[in-house]
Amino acid sequence: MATPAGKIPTYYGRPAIKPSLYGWIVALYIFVGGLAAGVQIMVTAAELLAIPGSGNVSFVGRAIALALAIFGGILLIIDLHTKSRFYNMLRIFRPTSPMSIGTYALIGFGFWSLVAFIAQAVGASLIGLVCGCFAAVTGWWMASYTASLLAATATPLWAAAPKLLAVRFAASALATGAAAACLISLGVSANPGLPRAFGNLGALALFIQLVASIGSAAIYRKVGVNDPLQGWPWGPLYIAGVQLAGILAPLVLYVLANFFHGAGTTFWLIASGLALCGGLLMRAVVLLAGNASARRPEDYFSFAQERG
Amino acid sequence: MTIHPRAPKDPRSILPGLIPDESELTAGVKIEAGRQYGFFTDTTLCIGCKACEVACKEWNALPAENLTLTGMSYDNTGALSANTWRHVAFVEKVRDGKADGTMLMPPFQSHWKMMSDVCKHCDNAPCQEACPTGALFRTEFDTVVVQQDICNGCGYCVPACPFGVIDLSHFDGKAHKCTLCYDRLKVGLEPACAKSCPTNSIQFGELSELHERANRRVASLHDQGAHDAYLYGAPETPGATGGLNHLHAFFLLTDRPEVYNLPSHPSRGANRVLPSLIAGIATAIVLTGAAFGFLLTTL
Ligand code: SF4
Repeated sequence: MATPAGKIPTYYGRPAIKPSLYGWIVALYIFVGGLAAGVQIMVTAAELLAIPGSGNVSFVGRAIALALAIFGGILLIIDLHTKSRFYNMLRIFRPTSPMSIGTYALIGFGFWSLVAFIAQAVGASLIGLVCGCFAAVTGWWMASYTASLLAATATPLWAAAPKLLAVRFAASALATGAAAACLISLGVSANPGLPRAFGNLGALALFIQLVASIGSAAIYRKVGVNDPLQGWPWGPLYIAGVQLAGILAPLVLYVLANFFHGAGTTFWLIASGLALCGGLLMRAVVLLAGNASARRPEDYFSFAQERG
Repeated sequence: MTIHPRAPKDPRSILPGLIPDESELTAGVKIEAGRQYGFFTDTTLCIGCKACEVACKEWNALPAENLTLTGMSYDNTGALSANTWRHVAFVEKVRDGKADGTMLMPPFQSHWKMMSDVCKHCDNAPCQEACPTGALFRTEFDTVVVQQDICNGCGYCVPACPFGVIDLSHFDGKAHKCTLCYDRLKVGLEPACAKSCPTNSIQFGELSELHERANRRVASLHDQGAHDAYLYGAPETPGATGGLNHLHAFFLLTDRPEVYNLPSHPSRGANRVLPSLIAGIATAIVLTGAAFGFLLTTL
């Protein structure tokens, strides 16, 4: 090629790719879908082990998971630009498209969540449990595919670290699911072991998310696409809102709750609230900062270089 | 240009209808289903007349947009979009990166590089691989087209395209892009842009033949001293990278791709699906296992 690599030129600084049209609706969906999956997984695990007091928790958890799955489906249809054709999503299955994979993941998850909820409501708890297990397994897809969806685009901030993005999304789904399960147990169960177990799981999930986000930031810097996560407005929001208030603070509180028995409930309440808000904010920042990164030709060209 | 032997046989200037296989006369190629067609755009021949943009808008009945000046060059089109399927880029080499303002560019090029950009009709088309409804499909001419009666406007193809081509129209809520004149190919007509190009910068033809022609052109330019000429998007060249086998619309460039707003190493997004799915699901499984562990401690 003609010129050796130096500063990469751009075409009058104009974008080289188009940003997605996804905004807060899709950010909310990614959060809601992950949360639904996380709650379903948490309460099903508790019920499988027949933890005392887990019956109420799993019933409320299943109701929430089902409601969130329906809400998520509505959000996705609202986001279509030709809503009346939503059913065209079911014309084909395309394994190269996470949008297609996700359609079936959501439908499967919603179906099993519905059957599990109804079965438990009418007292067929064994069927409820079996269907809950199916829902939980589809939940693993629900928690992860949204990261594939973003990673399979050309948007530099989404595509630069596909695996770590999925680790962050899945960990956040389980962390928010554990936070919700922790709150539910505080509300409807007399067993103090339940919120503690969910809180500790939440702490572990947040820790994994933190490590993965630090690792992905290192990749972003190396590839040259980290600027939108550092500059205004996403930089401060990401550091203060997501990393500190949304991950580190609840992580510390969940751990401390093990040592301050009197204040455990307060710690669990605050930590779970923070973890839930942090999960939503993380998705919103990744989504919107990603759109900003697609508008920066220097980022895209730097991402689209040959690497050994 | 040679005159096709068929041409003198039909001297009428007013025709009763379509000339059968008209493309044979205008582009020297017969259009048949099952073969691969594309564009070879030789940017060294482009004079920036925008006849291709006009012909495309006319034929496809695309509405006007951006009725303002961009203020950056003679490029007031700006970019490809839902309603603009050809876009002539104007690269003005004013300083060529040298602080004293002197030029490195040979004077015959008048300090301009121009390129008519278009959908690349990628082989492994990321937009098509992203489309969940099957609206985007591969035609019998091996081109990539959106079926307007199926698209539901999910918009996923928009960020999936590594060249920023396909776009959603806010008028009808569907995705639109160049069809490589699918309707014209069906009746043996050369695509409108190529037919209207006065310098033959845009050449329509069968892909294998275009590749040969393009390689000959590069060799001839090298012979004439233009050593910076190279192909972008032909097999094994920049642009045909990262899981994209080749681009059905490929280019002859004389500067690095980014100068023309093209990525030098675009990649196929579908290759990132499985690694990220596995990483995510593995994380979810590990954490589910950990949940069992924490719950067991309460017993
Ligand atoms: S250039 Fe973009 S819109 Fe055209 S075929 Fe390739 S991915 Fe699709």
